[in-house]
Amino acid sequence: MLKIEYNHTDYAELLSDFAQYFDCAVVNNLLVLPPHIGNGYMKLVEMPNGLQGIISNYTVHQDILFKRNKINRDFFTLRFDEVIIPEKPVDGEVDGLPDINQIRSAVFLGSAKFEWLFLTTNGTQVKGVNIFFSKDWLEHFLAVESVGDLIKKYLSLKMSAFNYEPMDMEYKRILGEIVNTEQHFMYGSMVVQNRIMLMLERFFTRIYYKMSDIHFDVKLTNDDINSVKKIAHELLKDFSVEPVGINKLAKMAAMSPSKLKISFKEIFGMPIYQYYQKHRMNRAKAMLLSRKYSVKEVGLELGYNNLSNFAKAFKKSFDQLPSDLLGRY
Amino acid sequence: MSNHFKFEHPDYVQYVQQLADSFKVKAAANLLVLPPAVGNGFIWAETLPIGISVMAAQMVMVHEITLSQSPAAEHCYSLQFTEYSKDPSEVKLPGSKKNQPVTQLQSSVRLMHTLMPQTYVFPEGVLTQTVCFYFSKNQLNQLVGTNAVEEMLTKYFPYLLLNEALEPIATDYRITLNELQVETIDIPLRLNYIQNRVLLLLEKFIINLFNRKEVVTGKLKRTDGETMRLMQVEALLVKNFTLAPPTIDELSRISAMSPTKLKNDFKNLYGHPIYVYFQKNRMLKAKSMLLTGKYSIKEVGVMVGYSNLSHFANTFKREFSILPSEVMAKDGVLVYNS
Repeated sequence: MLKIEYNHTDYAELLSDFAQYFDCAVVNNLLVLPPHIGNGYMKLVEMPNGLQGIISNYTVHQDILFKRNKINRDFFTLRFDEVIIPEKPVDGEVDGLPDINQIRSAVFLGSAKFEWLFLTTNGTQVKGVNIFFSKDWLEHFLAVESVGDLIKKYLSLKMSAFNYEPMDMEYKRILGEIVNTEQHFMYGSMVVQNRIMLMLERFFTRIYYKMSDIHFDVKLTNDDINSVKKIAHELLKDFSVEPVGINKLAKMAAMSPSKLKISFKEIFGMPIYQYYQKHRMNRAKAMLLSRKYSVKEVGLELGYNNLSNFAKAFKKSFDQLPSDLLGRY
Repeated sequence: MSNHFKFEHPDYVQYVQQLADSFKVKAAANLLVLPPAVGNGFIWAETLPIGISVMAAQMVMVHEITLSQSPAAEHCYSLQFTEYSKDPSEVKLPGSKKNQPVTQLQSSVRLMHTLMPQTYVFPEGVLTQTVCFYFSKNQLNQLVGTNAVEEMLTKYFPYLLLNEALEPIATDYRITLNELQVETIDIPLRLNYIQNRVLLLLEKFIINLFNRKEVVTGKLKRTDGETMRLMQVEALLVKNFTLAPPTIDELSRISAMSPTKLKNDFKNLYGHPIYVYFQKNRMLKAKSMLLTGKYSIKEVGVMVGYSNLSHFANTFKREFSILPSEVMAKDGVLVYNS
C-alpha cells in the first residue's frame, strides 16, 4: 500500500508532492497518473476569487492511503467525492484503518485542525472536487450575506464533529458536469468555476436550512459544548456494556436531562442514542471488515447477546447482513 | 413627468434609485415596486461580490418609458435579456385559429458596449421582462482567461455589435432568467445565488456564441424576419402548458413557412425538434414550480397539462432521474439546464 502524508495549505504544492510520490510530473496544473498508480488525472484549478480546487477523475491500480495531518491553522477543505468501490476487492488485508467509513461517496467539510484519511483500494474509482480555503476566505464569502453570521457560528460549533452530507443526485449531476468538461476546451475554466460556485452555494444553503430545521440555538456556551462532547466520548467508550442512562449522563454533564438531550442534538445533529447506535454499528462494520472476528464475536463485543437482534440492527444501518459483509470480502 | 430617463454611469443601482426618485417612491434595498399610477411590477438592482452590476425587472407600464445610457467613461459591456409579451388576456390562444398579432418588439439577447448609446424600452401595456448586467473586460478575463477573451473581442463581439444577429431567448436562458425575475429573492445566500445565475447566463451566452455557426462563418442562412417568426413559434409553444400544443400545421401557417423548413430551422435555432423542445420546457417549468414549494405535485401536474399524475411522474423521472416527490423546496435542487 502506498501511503501519502501531507499537511499543505497550498494545492499547487500539494499536487507537485503527489507527483513525487507517484513518480511523475505536473504539467499545466495537470497530473496524469502513471499506469502503476492508476488511470486518470488530478487537476488544479485556481479561481479568480481566491479558491483553490483539485478535480479528480481516476481509478487506482493499487491501494493508496491519503493522510492529511492536522495543522494548527484555520483552513477548511470541502470535498465532493463520488467513490465507486469494485464489487470484488482484490486480495490483500486492509489493516489498521481507524475509520472504515472514510471511503464513501459524500460531501464533507473538514477543518485542517483535524486529521483526515482517505483510503482507495485497488480498482476504486474516484470522481471528485476538493476545494480548499482559509477561514478569512470563508468570512469574506459569507460577509455579504445576511445569514452569514449564523452560518459562521454554526460552523465554529460543528467543526469538531465533521460535517457530512450525502452525495445526492444533484451533487452528482454538477460533479459530472465538472469532470466531463473537455480539458482543452477554451472556456472550460469558466464552466468549472461556475459549477464549483454552485456546489458551494448549495452546500451552504443546505447547511442553513438544516440549521433552521433543528431550531439551532447559538446560545450554547463553550462549557456546555465541552461537557456535551465529554458525554459523547463517555458514551462510546465501551460498547460491550449497557450504555449509560440519560439521568446519569446528565449528572456527569451537570445539566438537566432535557437540556442535555437538546444540546446534544444541536451539536451532533441526532439524538443521544441514535448517535450511540450509529457509532456502535460503525464499530461492528470495522471489526467485521478486519476479518479477525466472527459475526458472533463482534455481536458479543458490541453488547448483543442475541445475534439476531444484532443482525437486524446491522441491516437497518447498512442495508446488508453482517454475514453478507463477511461473505463479500 | 418625463418618460425618458437618462443615466450617466453604467450602474444599475443608480438607475433604480434615480427612477424611484422620479416616481416619488422609496426603493429600499434597491427594489422599486411601481406605484399604480406608473404601472404594475418591479425592478431591482444589485452590485454583486465580483463587481458586476445587475438589474432585473418585470413591468407593465401605464405610459411607455425609455431608459438610456449615454456613452460612459467606464468601458464595459452589457448583456441584456429582454422579453416582451402582451398582457395574457389580450393574447389569442392557439385554439382560436386566428393568427397571432405580430409584435414589432424583439425579444432577444443583446450585447452592447458603453461606447455606444443604449436604450431600454418599456412599452405601454406590454409585459416586459428583463435581466441586464454590466461586465468589464477584466471580469471577463478572470472568468474565461485572456486568450479566449482576446478571440471573443476581436472576432465575435464586433460582429455582434455591428450586425445585431438576433439570438433568441431559449429554454436554457429562460429557466435562469425566471429565477432572477422575482420581486424578492428569498434565499439564504442571496447575493451568491444571484451572482451564480448571472454567471450562468454569461456562460451560456459565450458558449452559444462559440457554437453559432453563422457568427463563425459570417454566413447567416436565416433572415432576421425568419428568426423573428421562429421566435413567435417558440413563444406559442411554451406559453401555456395546460393546453395541447399547437400542431405543426398550425405553427407552419402562423410562421408562414413550410412544415419542413419550419422543423429544420427551429431545430437549428433552438437545438431541439419542436416537440422535444416543448416537452423539455414543460418539465423544467414543472421542476421550477415544485422548487418554489408553493404547489402540490397534483397542482403542478395539472398546470403543465397532465391530468394523469402517474404519467407526469414518469415523464418527470425520465427527464431528471428523480420523482417529483423527491424535489423539495428546501433541498437546494438547482433548476439550471445543461
